This record gives sequence, structure tokens and C-alpha cells, in this order.
Amino acid sequence: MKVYLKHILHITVFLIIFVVILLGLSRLVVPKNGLNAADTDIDQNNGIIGEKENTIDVLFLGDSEAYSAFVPMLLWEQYGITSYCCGTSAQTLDNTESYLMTCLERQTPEYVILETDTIFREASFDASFLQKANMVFPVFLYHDRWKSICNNIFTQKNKNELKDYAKGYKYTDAVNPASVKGYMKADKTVKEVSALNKNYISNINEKCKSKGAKLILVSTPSTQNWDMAKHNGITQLADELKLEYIDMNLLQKEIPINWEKDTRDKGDHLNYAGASKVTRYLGELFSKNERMADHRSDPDYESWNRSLAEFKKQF
Amino acid sequence: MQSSSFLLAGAVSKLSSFFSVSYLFMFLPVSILLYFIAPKKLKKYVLLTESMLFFWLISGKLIVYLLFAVLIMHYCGIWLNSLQDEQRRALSDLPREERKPRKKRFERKQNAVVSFSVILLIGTLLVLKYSSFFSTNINTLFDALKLDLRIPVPSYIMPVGISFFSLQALSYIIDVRRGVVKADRNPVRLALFLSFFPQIVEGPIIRYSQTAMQLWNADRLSLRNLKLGMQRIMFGMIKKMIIADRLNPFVTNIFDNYTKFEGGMVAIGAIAYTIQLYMDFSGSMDVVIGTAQIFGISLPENFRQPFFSKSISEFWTRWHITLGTWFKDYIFLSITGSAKMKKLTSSARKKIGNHYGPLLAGSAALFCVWLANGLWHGAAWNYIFFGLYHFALILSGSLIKPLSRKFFQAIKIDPKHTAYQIFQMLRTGLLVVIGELFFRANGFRNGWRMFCRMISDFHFGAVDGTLIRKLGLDMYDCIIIAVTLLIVFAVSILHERGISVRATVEKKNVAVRWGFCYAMMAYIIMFGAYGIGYAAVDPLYAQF
Repeated sequence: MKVYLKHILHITVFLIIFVVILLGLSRLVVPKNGLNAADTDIDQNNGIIGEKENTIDVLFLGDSEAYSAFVPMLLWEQYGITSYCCGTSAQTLDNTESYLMTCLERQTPEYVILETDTIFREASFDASFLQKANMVFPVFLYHDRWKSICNNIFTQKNKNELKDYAKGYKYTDAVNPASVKGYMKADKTVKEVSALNKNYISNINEKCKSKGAKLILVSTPSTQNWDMAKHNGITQLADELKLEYIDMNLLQKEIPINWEKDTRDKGDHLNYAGASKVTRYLGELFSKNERMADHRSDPDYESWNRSLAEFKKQF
Repeated sequence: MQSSSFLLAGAVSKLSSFFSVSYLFMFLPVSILLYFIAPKKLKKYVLLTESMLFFWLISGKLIVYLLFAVLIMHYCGIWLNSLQDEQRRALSDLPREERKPRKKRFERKQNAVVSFSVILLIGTLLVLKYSSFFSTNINTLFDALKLDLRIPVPSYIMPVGISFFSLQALSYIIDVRRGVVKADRNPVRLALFLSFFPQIVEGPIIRYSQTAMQLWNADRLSLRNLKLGMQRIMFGMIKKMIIADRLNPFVTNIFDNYTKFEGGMVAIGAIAYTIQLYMDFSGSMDVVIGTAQIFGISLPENFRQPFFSKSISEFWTRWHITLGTWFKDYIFLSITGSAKMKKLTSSARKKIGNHYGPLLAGSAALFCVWLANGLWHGAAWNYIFFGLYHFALILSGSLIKPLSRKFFQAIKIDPKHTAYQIFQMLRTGLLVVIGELFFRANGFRNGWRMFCRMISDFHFGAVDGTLIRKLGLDMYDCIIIAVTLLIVFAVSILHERGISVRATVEKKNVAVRWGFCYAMMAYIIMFGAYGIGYAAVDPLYAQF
């Protein structure tokens, strides 16, 4: 028995030191503020860390549909609304939750817009486990930043330099027309959202509520990724969780997507022309909210005008 | 609500790799814990349950193939044993002159039982793995002969590890036939031997005589085994997650788009793939052997510093050792030991001498071994070529051995000189890289084109940092791969000199021991190719 106790004590001490090491490594690699030199997905989306505290009105989350459809700089230019898009390729809801948590640490957005394509993507056990681990030990998420840290050391670059003037949007003006045959054809079947993803949406909603943000589910136009069965599945989920749901695929009058010109890859994603239509629709919707002030003439938001100028220069 | 979300993720239904979170942080710790708390008498059953669960989590209902193999082992073993008992009894009652023909009759019966089990075990493997390849080639032949005939091309789902456990089951039956082991009447013990979870996916190919009783007499966990096993697992993770997985996009880009690159880049791709394969497979073996060590089970090594080999034949005694010894014991020796081949060897010895005489029968056996080796790796012409390439190299090595010895004597080069030995290692490495180029290529035709490009267009004019970065490796990836390769190389040199790093560290004080473990863990966490931006790469040998 004594030997067992000794072994258990050894293992416990060993694990405590290991936890301390993990916390130390996490401190080392977590981005403190802003973007870093390395141009990775993580760094681009973590641009939100570099935004001034409590300056973001709208947060966009989701997969590539999100970063192809929501244009923060357009919302700024035309409505004076500040927003950031934390969309990443093939995002699963565990990542979505992580980005939301990162954002809510420093921001109190009025709206959180979740693009619904990601709701039908299943998070693997491994990804879910890692996401939980990331929350406690961010080193698992940011470990690859050792490259940017080395880069900063070697190149003496300012590691807090904010670079993403597109605020998470990924610009493209490529055109590759889509076929609309069978697109949003009437169908009563329901594509169910999995129990795991329902749980994630519920968690995300709770977190938004706790910070006074309103979660809205939005399905952006896509002939390849969206259909009535998915629409019905999300409608059911939105009813269940009492969430607002906008399916832009059914708003062809309000958002007149021209599938000959507004898609970059045969209806899978929108290009800038399509994204502008989607963003303007949301801009009109947001500007009806009295609490959404127009910040364009506010000197505290001057950096947004500089970003806009840079955005226009680049694209 | 919050903490339960990952438990809803289909539990561990996607258990696919020893390097997955679900294996390392869920399956393995729970398995160790259950094994630890189980009473000594029940430990073997805990191991069996965990092994079956592991297989089921990977292959689902395809577990029936594993159970089928256990049944064949069990019944064919008992059948052989009863024939042997019957033979013993019958022969003891007979006068000496009548024994020989009677013995032959019994041996024929035993051979028929072995053939029956070969048909069932290898037949299943042939149907699942090769029927599509054979029928496609038959259809191609029909087309070439302009015959208006077609046979259907079937496609089956293969259970993971079938190429490994089929050979293990067969080795048991042949060993019973040869009298190396006695037939085991306990199907549970056979099931544990065949399904032991660390080795079921990628081997090593274990023998009943080495492992079955170790597993059956499963003992209490020891802290020492736990520590040493974990260290071995971490070393495997370093090889796989830092080197192999980081090289994967680079290798894939070159092999998938080789027409865009000059020969020098193709050569770099072939070298990178050889490194990737070695780090992936030997890293997986470290995890397998380390896991087994935690449970107190000693599994045979599958690698012994293969890149220190001075010839291709030596290379194959250091690379995938258990597969090589399986082919040697059950194919090579079966052929060279047959009466006809023995006769051929003895007459050839008289005519062409002691060196070349045995080579006649030996080369026939060697051909079968390498054809089987190529086919074992996969049902495609590039794998067959890979096997026959090694056959040609080993056979030509044997043929020119006396001549080369004389040549070096004449020009006064000492074959034991360090510089010459390094030359031999580099030459062997080069030949291995060429073989692996065909092995990895997308089909034989592409392999051949890549080889030709490598020879005819061998320059590095377009190779620069920008190109390498475009192919998936930035400067920091290259640095961390190089540093880790140096670490692995240093460990290999120590092993070659008979020095075990783990044993050396074990003798040091607690600060050094713990520091060693923390350094390994931190190294994997910081520099491993996992998480966002990296696609998980399943162990390469799991597909075979």
C-alpha cells in the first residue's frame, strides 16, 4: 500500500509540473494583441484580438461561406457599422465556439451572425476534445505560432502590428457561373441537426446572451451547399432554441443574386459582387436597430477609415 | 452542458490511428486503468476485451474476419494435433519397414490441413485485396486480344490489419504442423494472441511461440514499464508527428504533380518520401512496442537502424524485420527445404561449386519471396515491381559477391575501411530511395516516368525556397525537420553501438529523468504537425 501511495504521489507531482509547463507554453504562444507576420488562418481570424476593446458591433462566424459572403469593410463604408468575420475553411462548431469565446473576451457585439453551413458539419471526437483542451491550455491551438515568434525575433517585426484591413473577409472577383437547376426546389424532408451540434448551438447562444449579443442564424446563398431539407432542419432548430433565422436562399427578391455573375465557383461560394448584395441586406437590417450607431465620424474609429482606404487600394 | 459536448461526438467511433486524440487520451488511458484495477486472474480477459473493442471501433462489423481467422487457427490446430497424435500411436505399433509409407500418408493429411487453412486465410485475403486488381488486368488482357469479353470488377471493404493477422494465423498453423508449437486448445488464448490491440493495425507480425503465453500470463502493471513504455511512445510521436506528417504535403505535391518539376526536385521528393515512410512506420512501431511494454509485453522489434545497412540484403534484415523473417521462415525455407530443391542444390554444388550451387534453388525461392513481398504491400503493378526490384538487387549482389571480393583485393581496397563502409551505406540508401519512388508512385507507369525524369533531367535550377514553400514546407518546417532528424540520427548511432538512451536516462537522478520526459512532451506539443492548418495523416502501413 505504501508503495502504491508513493507511486500515486510521484505521478501527481509529475502531472502538476506538467500542467505548469503547459500553462507556461500557453503564455508564450497565445497572441497577445493583433496579428502576426505569419499569414495563417489562425492569425487572420485572430485579427479580432487586435481590435480596440468594445468596438465591434457585429461578429460573423462560420466556414468559407461566411468569409466569402460578409464584407465588413462594406458595412463600414455604407452604414458605419464595425464588424469582423471569423470564418475559416471547413469550420466546425467547436472552432466556432472558440472564436466566439476569443471575441467575447474583449468585445460586446450587438449581433453574432452564424452562417449555417457549418451546422451540418460534424465535429470529430478528436476535434471536440482538442477544443476543450485549447480552452484550458491554448498552446494546443497556437503551438504553430512558434514560427511567427521566431520570425519576429529574427526580423525584429512588431508582433502587435495589425494587418487585416479586410477584417476577415477573403476577397475574390472570380466568376464561374452556376446552374440553378433544382436549386431550393420545394421539399418537405428535414435534414436533422445532430445532437452534438445542437448542443454547440445552444452553448453558443447562451454565451451570446450572457454578453447581451443576439445570435442570428443566416444561410447565405449557395446553389451547391443549400437545399430545402437543410432549410427545414435549421428552421426546426431555430424554433426549438427560439433563434432568429434568415435563409437568404429564399430571399431572391430582396437579395437578387445573379448566378451567372455573382459566384466564384459554380454556386459553391459568392464572389465580391454576390457578397456585396448579402452585406447590403444585412446592413439595412442592422441599421434599423437604434443601438447600432454610425461610427464613421467618430475619431475613436479613425483606424477603420484607414483600413477602408487600404482595402480599396488592394481590391 | 458545456463539458458534455465532446462526449456526444460519436464517442470514439472514429478511432483510426495510434496518434489520434481519441486513442492517446481516451482509449489508451482507460485501457491502462481497467487493466490496472482488474484482479490478476482477469487481466488477460481485460486485454482481450480491449483488443476486440479496439478492432470493432476501427473496423465495425468487419470484426467477423478476425473471429473467422481465430476459428481457423483453433480448429486447424486441433486437427493437426490429433493427426500427429494418431500418427504417433499408429507408427509406434508398426514394424520399422512399414513406418515410412504410413508416415508419408499422415504427412500428406497434415499438409492437406495446412493447405486447407492457407486456402481459407490467404484465399480471403486474395478475394478482398486482389480480386479487383486481377479482374481489371484480365479485362485489359481481353481488350488487348480484342476479345469481346468482360468480367465484373468487384470491390470489397477490407478490415484493417488483415494482411498482418492472416500471416500471424498462418504462422501458428505451420508451426503446429512443423512441431515448433503444440496446438492450443484454448480459443480465448488464440484470440488474444491474434487480436492484441497495439499490434493489430501495423504489426509487428508476432509468433505464437514468442507472445501468446506472455499475453496469457499478463501480470500487474509496473511503474517502470509504464515510464519506459510512455517514453517509447513519445519517441514514436516525435518521429511521426514532427517529421513524417510535416513532410506529407510536400511529398504528396511532388508525387501528384511530378510533371511540373525537374529531375532534381523529383529526387528530393523520393528522398523525402523515404524519410517520411521510415519515420511514419518506425514511429508507429515505437508506439506499438511502447504500448505493449506498458502492459509488460515484449514485442519483437521491426526496425534496427536500417539506413546503416551496407547492402540491400542487410537492409531487409533491419527494415520491417518481422515481415522479412516471416517470408524467410514460411516461404524461403519451405521452398529450399523441399526434397526436389535439396536434390537440385546438391547436384548443382557438385557442378558449379559451393557458392553458385545453392543459388539455383535459392534464387527460385527468393523470387517467390519478393513476388509475395511486393504483392503483400498492395494489389498494383508498382508493388510487384518494388518486390522484383529488390529480388534483382539481392540476387545480383549474391552473384557478383566472389568477383567483387577479388576485385577489391586486386585494387587493394579494404572493405572494412570506414570510408568504404560509408560509401556502401550511401549506395544502399540510394537503391532504397529508387525502390521507394516506385513504391509511392501513383502506379507503375508514373513511377517509371518519375524515374526517367530523375535520370534525364537531373538538375536543381528551379529549386529554391519559394518553390519548397509553395509545396508545403516553409523555412521553419525545414529547420525543425532537420533538427529532429539529427536527434533521431544521434539516437540511432547510440543504438547501433548498443547504448539504450532510455536505460541511460533511467540511471540518472529524478531531475534528469523528469526533465527528459518534459522536454519530449514539450517538443511534441510545440512542434508536432497537428491542429488547425494540418490534416491528420493515418499511419502509412495501416493501408497495407
